[in-house]
Amino acid sequence: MTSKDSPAIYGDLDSQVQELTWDTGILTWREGDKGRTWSAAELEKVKLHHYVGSLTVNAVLQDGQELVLLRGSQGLARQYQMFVQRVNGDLQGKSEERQQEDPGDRCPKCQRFYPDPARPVCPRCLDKRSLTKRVMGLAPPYLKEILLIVALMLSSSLVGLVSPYLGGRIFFDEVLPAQGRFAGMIGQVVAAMFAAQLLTLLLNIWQGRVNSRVSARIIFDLKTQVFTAMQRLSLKFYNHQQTGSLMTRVNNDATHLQYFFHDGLPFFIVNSMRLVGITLVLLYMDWQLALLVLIPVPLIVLGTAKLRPLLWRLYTKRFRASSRLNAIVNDSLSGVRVVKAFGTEEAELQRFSHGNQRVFAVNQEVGHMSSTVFPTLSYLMSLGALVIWGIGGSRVLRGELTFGTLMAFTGYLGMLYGPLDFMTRVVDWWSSSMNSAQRIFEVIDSTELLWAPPADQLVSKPKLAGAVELRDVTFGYEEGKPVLEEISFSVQPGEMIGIVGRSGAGKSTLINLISRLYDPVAGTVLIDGADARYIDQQDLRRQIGMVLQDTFLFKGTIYENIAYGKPGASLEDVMEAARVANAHDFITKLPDGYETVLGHRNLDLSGGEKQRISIARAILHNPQILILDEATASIDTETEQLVQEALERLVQGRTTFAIAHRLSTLRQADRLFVIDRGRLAEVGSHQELLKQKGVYYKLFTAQREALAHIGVAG
Amino acid sequence: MADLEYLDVSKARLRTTAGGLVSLNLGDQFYPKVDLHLAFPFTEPERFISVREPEGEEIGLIRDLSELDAASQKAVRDELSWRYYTPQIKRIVSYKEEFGHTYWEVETDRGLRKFVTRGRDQTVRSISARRTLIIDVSGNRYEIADLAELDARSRDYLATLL
Repeated sequence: MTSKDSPAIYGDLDSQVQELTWDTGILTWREGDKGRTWSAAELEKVKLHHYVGSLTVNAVLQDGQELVLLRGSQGLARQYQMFVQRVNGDLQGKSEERQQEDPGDRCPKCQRFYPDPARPVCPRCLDKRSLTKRVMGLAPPYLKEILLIVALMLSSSLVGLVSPYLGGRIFFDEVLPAQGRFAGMIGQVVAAMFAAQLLTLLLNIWQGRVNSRVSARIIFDLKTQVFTAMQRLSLKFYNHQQTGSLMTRVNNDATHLQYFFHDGLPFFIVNSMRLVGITLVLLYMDWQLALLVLIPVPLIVLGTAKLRPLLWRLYTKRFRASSRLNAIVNDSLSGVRVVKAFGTEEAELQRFSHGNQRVFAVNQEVGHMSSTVFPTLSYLMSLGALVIWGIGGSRVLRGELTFGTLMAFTGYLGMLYGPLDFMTRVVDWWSSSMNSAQRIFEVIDSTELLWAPPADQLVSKPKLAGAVELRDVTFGYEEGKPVLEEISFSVQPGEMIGIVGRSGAGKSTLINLISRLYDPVAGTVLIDGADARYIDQQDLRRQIGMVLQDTFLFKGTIYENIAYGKPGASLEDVMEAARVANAHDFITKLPDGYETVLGHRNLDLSGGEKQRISIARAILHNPQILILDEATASIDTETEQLVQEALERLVQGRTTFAIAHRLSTLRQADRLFVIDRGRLAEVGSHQELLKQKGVYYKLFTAQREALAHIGVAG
Repeated sequence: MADLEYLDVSKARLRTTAGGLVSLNLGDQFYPKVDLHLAFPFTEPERFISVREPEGEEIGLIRDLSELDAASQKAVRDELSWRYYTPQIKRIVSYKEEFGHTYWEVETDRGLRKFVTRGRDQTVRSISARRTLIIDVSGNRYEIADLAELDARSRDYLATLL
């Protein structure tokens, strides 16, 4: 009945190791020389508990008593789980089913963790060629062009090598001296040099053109691949990933790759070829001098190799800082309705400037570093020139070296430093131009501002009663296309109004006007009898709260998210609000409680949970006027009850405007406003409107039939 | 009930059972096993402790552990130290980055530990400017109480993770 193999499990949290074994119906626990056993008859079951920082295996005895057997670190979860299953299986007399072997998260060959836990591929043990193949896999459609580019580069490098030779050795040694082979043929040699330079130029232009065409196509294909892959990824991926990071990744990486293909790679190839070519020519002309000239080169290469990890670290830091900044900007942009509704633009700005400062600091660090490192390297290189002038010069005087060779040497040396310099800058160059904030600033700058009254006409309303009145309000997002026309109504403080209408009828627009996210084109919105445009925006925002359908939670802890509308709220205030919103329970059960970071790690809150957090936020915000926009949509029936209950508590004592698709959720509303084609068509209670047999009646019966049809009670 | 419920400290007696669990005596009610959850595990390790029935309802909150009797305090502290088991890193002996994973060896208050972390985003959580958590692939947590006390190299490395 028991399995043959009986591997033990161990507790690894104490210096004293505990051991637990299960063999032929006996559970044995040992710690040092202490030990205890239980027979199968005494045991009811064993249990595995996952705590925040550890695992615990408990035994439950037949008499109901429970005791702790082992405590271990989380990495042992699989082992513990298998052990517990085995024991419980035996206790229940089930024949053991061999569990299917899970590939695990480590490479069986080298014990390294797989970079992507969902893909059991070990990059170390992976056939490296397959990766190269994959990158090259992008190339075949452009094989002809790529070959052409390489050929062009080769020829341009070769031709480029000719110039110093002509201008140095040939010109000074063979043309100028009377006994030279080409004595006096200045015109021809200059013409040859001119032709060589022209040819280089033409080859470079040609190569550049082919190159930009090919690289653009490769990038296009690559981007298509990335976006196709993104379509396939689950929503979960997007929840884990900060949207900003994702944005940065896709856009920046594609841009960087483009730089790489378009500028980096060709320059790299050309410069490598030049380096090799020049070295060969130098060695051919005078190997001793060549070796002397090349002395600083290993120093430079070594220095670069040493400094690269340091620089790389800095660049990583910069990348992270800028992508975090992007995330912040993106956060407040996608949550802009919430930001505006809670009037926390200041806090957002603060958050932004915080992130921005970090980017600034890192950029400065990068600047310091590169302005120290690169000039030093250049200086090292220029030492080579001194060697030529000093040693080469004295050898010319002694007649061991022709003047032409010396000139050619300096010419080539000049050409050598360019590529070398480039090589040391490759990293810097590759990593720079990371900041895509510019684009986002444009978006921020284009945000339209609301009209503000002259300071002396500003009305201060630190405490609203919550009366809302609309007088002949007309509004459209575009001129000449009114979404709402001549709407008039008056709402008493504390009244709950349901706003009803077909989608596109103008319900959300009406709410945007009440919360003054927009001003009407014509007519007036009055709050507590005052024109909303003249009321201090801060006062207004502070006292208007929103719970929206697409709950917007910021990246930050649950505590911060709830305290959002009331910065500096005490821990008790926040817990109290969460309690009222039916959220305290599920929050305390989270490993990190109220300090759980949202939009981070592997945390997925359900729609209902997010909704309750945003209700808690609104409760703490304590607005006098409350707006519920489809607040119960997209919630499963299980939690709908909890959310509904939370909403009912929230609504009490506040002027409330609620939009809901499910008309039945608006039954508790004092009055319903029916919006039809931009006009206020009907006003009244649910019963009254049903009796009228108008727009509402039609909506209601249509919906009830539709719901009955799919088996949901209306 | 929509109000927060705090445990009646005059009646609540929490004890470690013979089996190593925590029991709660609340006047006329006795719970042989309770679960303890910290509402603010990082910033308030001894306040706002949610005492719950196993996998069930909240019995009440402990506003401040110091309000309880000494034996209860000890029982709660012991249990929390297991539940929120987090070795304190004293020194980073070595770290090596390879294929997106970092292999660490650290000296902690609980002895030498080796662990592996994946990536960056899921690895570190900074609690304050100087206090940081490191979370390994299995979810184990290690705390650095003060970054300033680490050697310069380790600090530099951590800075890139933060």
